[in-house]
Amino acid sequence: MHRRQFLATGAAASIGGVLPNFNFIEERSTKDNARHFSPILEPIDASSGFKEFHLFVDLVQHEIVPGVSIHTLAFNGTIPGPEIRVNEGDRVRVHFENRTGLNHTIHWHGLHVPWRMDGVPYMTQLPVMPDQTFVYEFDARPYGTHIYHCHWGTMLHMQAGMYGAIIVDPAEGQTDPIQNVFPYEREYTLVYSSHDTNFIRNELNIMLERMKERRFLMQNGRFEKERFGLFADIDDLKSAMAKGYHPPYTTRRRTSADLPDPNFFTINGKSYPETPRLMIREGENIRVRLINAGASAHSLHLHGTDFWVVADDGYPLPNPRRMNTILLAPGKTHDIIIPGDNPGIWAFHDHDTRRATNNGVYPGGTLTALVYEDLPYMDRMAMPGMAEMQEHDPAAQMENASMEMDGLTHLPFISLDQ
Amino acid sequence: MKAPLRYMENYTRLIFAIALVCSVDSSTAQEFLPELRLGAMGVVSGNIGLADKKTASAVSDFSDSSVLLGARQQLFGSYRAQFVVGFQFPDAESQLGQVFYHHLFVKLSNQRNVFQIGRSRLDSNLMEFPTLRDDDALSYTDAQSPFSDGQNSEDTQFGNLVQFGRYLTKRIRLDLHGEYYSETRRREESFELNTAGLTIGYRVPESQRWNRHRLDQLVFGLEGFFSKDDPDASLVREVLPNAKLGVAINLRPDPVHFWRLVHQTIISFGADDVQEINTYLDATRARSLASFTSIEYVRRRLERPDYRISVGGGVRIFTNLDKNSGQFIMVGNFFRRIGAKFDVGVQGIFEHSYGDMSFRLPSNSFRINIGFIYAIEHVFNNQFDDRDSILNLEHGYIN
Ligand SMILES: [Cu+2]
Repeated sequence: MHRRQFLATGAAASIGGVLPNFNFIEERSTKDNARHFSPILEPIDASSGFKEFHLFVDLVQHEIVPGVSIHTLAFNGTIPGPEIRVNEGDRVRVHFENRTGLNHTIHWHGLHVPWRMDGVPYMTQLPVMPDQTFVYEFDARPYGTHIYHCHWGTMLHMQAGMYGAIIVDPAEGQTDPIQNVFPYEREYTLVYSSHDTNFIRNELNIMLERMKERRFLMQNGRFEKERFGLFADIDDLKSAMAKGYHPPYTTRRRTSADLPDPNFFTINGKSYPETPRLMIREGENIRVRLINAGASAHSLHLHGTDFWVVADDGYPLPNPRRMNTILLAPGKTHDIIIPGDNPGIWAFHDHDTRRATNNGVYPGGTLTALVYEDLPYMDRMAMPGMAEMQEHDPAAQMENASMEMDGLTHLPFISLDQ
Repeated sequence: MKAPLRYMENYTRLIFAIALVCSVDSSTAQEFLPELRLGAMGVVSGNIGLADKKTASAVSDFSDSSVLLGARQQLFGSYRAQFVVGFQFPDAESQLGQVFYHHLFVKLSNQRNVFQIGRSRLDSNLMEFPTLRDDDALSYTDAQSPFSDGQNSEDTQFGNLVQFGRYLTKRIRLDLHGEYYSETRRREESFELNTAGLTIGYRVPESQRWNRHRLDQLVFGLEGFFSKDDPDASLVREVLPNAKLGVAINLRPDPVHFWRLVHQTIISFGADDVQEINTYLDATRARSLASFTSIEYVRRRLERPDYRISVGGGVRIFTNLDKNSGQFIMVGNFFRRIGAKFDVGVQGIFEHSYGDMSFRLPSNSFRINIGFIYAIEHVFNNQFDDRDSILNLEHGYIN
């Protein structure tokens, strides 16, 4: 039987037989979309009175978009690292294992941890060196959306992937202050970052090579502190310089062209067309936690409706503000509530369009969409007006059905050339 | 071409691992900028020579200084394409003119395979030695081309080649090549081949030198010169084969006190009819053994070279001549790094020739060079990694 005949027969029998119903599409895209959000890290032990977690960092390959893979530093093998969820007041213990040849720490950005747990190398702790494990302990507070990230060689290590979300939910038995005002069932965490893949590659190669040399000398007790550019105070530095030490900023100058100039912009480690989508239904509120773990600011704009900004750096705002564009500066978190009040498919993107690019080519970057799952299937069809045509004209029905077989069935398409 | 402290140079690969090609895609009218690499090296020295009690001096010798420009890009599949063009300033009296194009090639390579065609460094040697200039001990370090009249060293070092290389493992590479050594008898450039050979070598990539392996390189090569009675003849008159063995050992692979030994022996099987040497051609056709060994010490200070001392010695012995003939050489040098990639130093060479070789060359000669070497290199629009980077070697290759 020829395809056209098959389609004709099917169409004659029932439209539902040829055209998948919208539930099918909803299920497929919702399921596929789930992999674009970080898994929640399971505690390893709850019996100790702590919520204990195991985090490790390893050097892995990561695909940003189909066709572009890079070597990255990844918490538990993923970018971003797994989402850590604790309740306010929990005692938290994180075993951090360094499986790379480089130094690292973890900084708990926005949490009020004891100062020795703050993860700033040579300010609060020594770096966690290769093959070492460091245990971080703190009480989870304050409530809200926060970040964890490496604080060693931050300019490289963060954009190389060492970041993740840590979310402090209300204490056990308490209700969520935001949910009290804007009831919602579903929430999404979007972690933004930007990456200069050439800088990452070159710096990783350089540092891995140097660290081999340093580790050998350290293991043999022949390490000079100048190798890490480490000094007690300015006088110590000056006296080392008098003996021939040259600070790296005098011998390894970077030109402005050598500074990181991001060529990829990601949400949850992926660029468009692999960015996570925000799925919503009519009448529903969704909570979206926006985190900027990168070094570029993002001016995020939502089409079709306005959202409520309900938290800033994790703190619930006493007077939520309604807007459609929000500036997400590096290191900031904002929680927003998007009301499901205008069914459709709506772009949600950085209005600095230089950041809606992959390797400088538009569209790409952090472009994504708010998608109504319950949009009637016919509304999501690629050809407007098709439903009416099909009602009256079986021939048009066939023609349009075969057009679908080219693979372009429902919106939004992936578009890579504009 | 070589900076004295090259082994210790962190990120420089002076022989371009790089690239070329500006193309305009007419269908989109968008320019694609390839990765571009610019390299240049200035080797400038003052020389004092003493040969059989006669002195000679050169106030400013800038031979071996060179410029390289490369471009590289990813092709549609797994291969990368590279184009390199470079020129150097030949020795005085080389009869090569003001500049000599020592590199001009296209290379296609992926993780395992390398195809190269064009002008480049020939396989007349396997190893690089720590001398001021690459040709300072050429009679001992390179197989001697029977196609040259010996007027310049470029004839021996650079020529046209077609090469296929395959990485059998990450460190073992097999090369098959055909080459054209410049023929003095021919006035015009030729795109024929007059030499063929193969090389198989184990080499630890430079990025992994702080893995501190003792054995750094072990390379074996076979090559044959196919010579004709005259350039236009169709029949090959004779084949002059040679075999080479090179080894580099990190005697003390220490990041601060680095000791290294490099050795190479070349056996030229020669032609039986050569029993005395009257011409340069005779010397290249005679059965001989040439060997060179160097030991160097590099003192490094906070992850960069501070100074280097090296001593080397070589012999070249003719084994089938009526008269006991040969030559030997001793080279010593000291280089100090006084700025990023800027070295100053002094080198002394003593050479003795005896038997038939003393007809052509002074029996004793002594040379001193006092020189500067300045190497610069910059990559523009870098867009992918090298095969031999630590990331690609130790964390999975990314195309
Ligand atoms: Cu780190």
